Amino acid sequence: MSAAIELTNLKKSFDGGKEFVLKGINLSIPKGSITMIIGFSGTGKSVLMKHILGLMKPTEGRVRVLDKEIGDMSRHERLKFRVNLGVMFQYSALFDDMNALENVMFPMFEHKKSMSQNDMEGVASTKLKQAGYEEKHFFKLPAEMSGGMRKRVALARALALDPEVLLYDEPTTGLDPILTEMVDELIYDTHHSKKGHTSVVISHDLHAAFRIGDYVVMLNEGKVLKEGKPEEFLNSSDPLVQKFVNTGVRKK
Amino acid sequence: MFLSLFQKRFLDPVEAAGRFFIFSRYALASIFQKPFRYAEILKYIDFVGNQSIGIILLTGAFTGLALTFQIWVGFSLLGAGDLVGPTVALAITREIGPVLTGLVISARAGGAMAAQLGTMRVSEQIDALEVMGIEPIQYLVGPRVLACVLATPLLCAVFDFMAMLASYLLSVHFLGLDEGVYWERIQLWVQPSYVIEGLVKTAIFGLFFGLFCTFRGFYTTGGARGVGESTNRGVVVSMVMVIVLDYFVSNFIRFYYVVT
Repeated sequence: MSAAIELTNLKKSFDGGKEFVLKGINLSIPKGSITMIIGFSGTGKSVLMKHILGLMKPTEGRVRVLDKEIGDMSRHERLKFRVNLGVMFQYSALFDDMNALENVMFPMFEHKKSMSQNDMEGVASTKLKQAGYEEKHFFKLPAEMSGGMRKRVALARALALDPEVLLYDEPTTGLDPILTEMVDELIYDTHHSKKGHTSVVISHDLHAAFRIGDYVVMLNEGKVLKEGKPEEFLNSSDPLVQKFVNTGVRKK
Repeated sequence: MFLSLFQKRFLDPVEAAGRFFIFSRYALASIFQKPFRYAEILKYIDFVGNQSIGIILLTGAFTGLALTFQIWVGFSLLGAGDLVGPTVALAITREIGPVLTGLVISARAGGAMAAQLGTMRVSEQIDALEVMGIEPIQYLVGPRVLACVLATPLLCAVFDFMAMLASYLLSVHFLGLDEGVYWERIQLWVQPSYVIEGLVKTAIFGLFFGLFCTFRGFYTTGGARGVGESTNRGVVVSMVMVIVLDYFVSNFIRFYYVVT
């Protein structure tokens, strides 16, 4: 399977090279899969995602997304290229002054100027329904939405431009177990609704990786500790992987 | 110890000034880049201008009243009550109108803009814009700065008008000054260029606080505390700079008159 995202010797330091958050990551994320990037808090997962999105510049190394070298692009080219990427942020990052429908229409306003207002509303409405958002709440502002509603709108907005790669930054952090499962199902259903989608989920929830992931990458202290199919993690002899796998298992 | 003090006292402010300069260059260039954000510009002209009219009318009226009364108290002792009108008019159009408008609007609109952008930064809305392929400075900063440059002089004109109206009402209807003399002296002493000078000054104040407050908001870090700090720093520096800039711009305008 060819790679949707390729990271080569990716290093990142915020203090001029004294300390590295990412310490030489080599990673290949397969096209068409749900890849879960997991790890303890503070292992550099979000920093890694920001590199994939081109929001951060690597101190060393290369980032290749959909066969394009992010580092070689000008700022303008990077902005244009990001139309191929959809992102669902940890806290949804919905625009406060726009209702649910306007939030989803916003990327279309910017990038699909040939579309009429009615067409945009139609597409936004379809995406919201696809994300399980009820029509009666279309005109609610983010401040009036529940956590689950916000996640659904954020997902619909990420899908608005039919991106090839969908990135989810800690989509279930801070949610209750029922909502967590709902979001996991949403990710799974969205991924399988269109062939060729690549989904990357940044999470610290290994159980979600077992439920929905095709491929799992575990980061630890800025390095890839283990990567492979979810089952391989169960049989791993690495104590850190075991510790992660056994989190939540009751001690006898 | 010495190095860290040197870093904190000297290098950090220099770095911040450099970042502000680069940000300002991007922000100003973005105003002239496509797509032109007409809807956003109008929205922020309404926010900075239209929604500030009430506070400007109130400030203008009471400034005009207070200034007129104090000048009348002093001048009438010398038998120079006739000069109350032109003195107030000169002070209002050249200095007090522009400075107070700058101060009031930088606190009201500048503070709100720093807080809005700061909140957008910490809640990842600015990152969201960027990953949607939208240039955040062009979308968020350009229209706000342009709105400040365009709306602040208009507010200054409203301030001048209101202050002079209040001054006229107090002078003629309560302090007993002659209406004809009041207006005749103002016409004699106050040139239209003085009013324009004040408006030019407020456009410069608008440019500065628009850029500085959006800069502070745009680069906010550290959650709710960071938003508070950015707003505070944005407003305080803007207000101080309105007064500092007033001195330099006034002198520059004097110099311009001398040269031309």
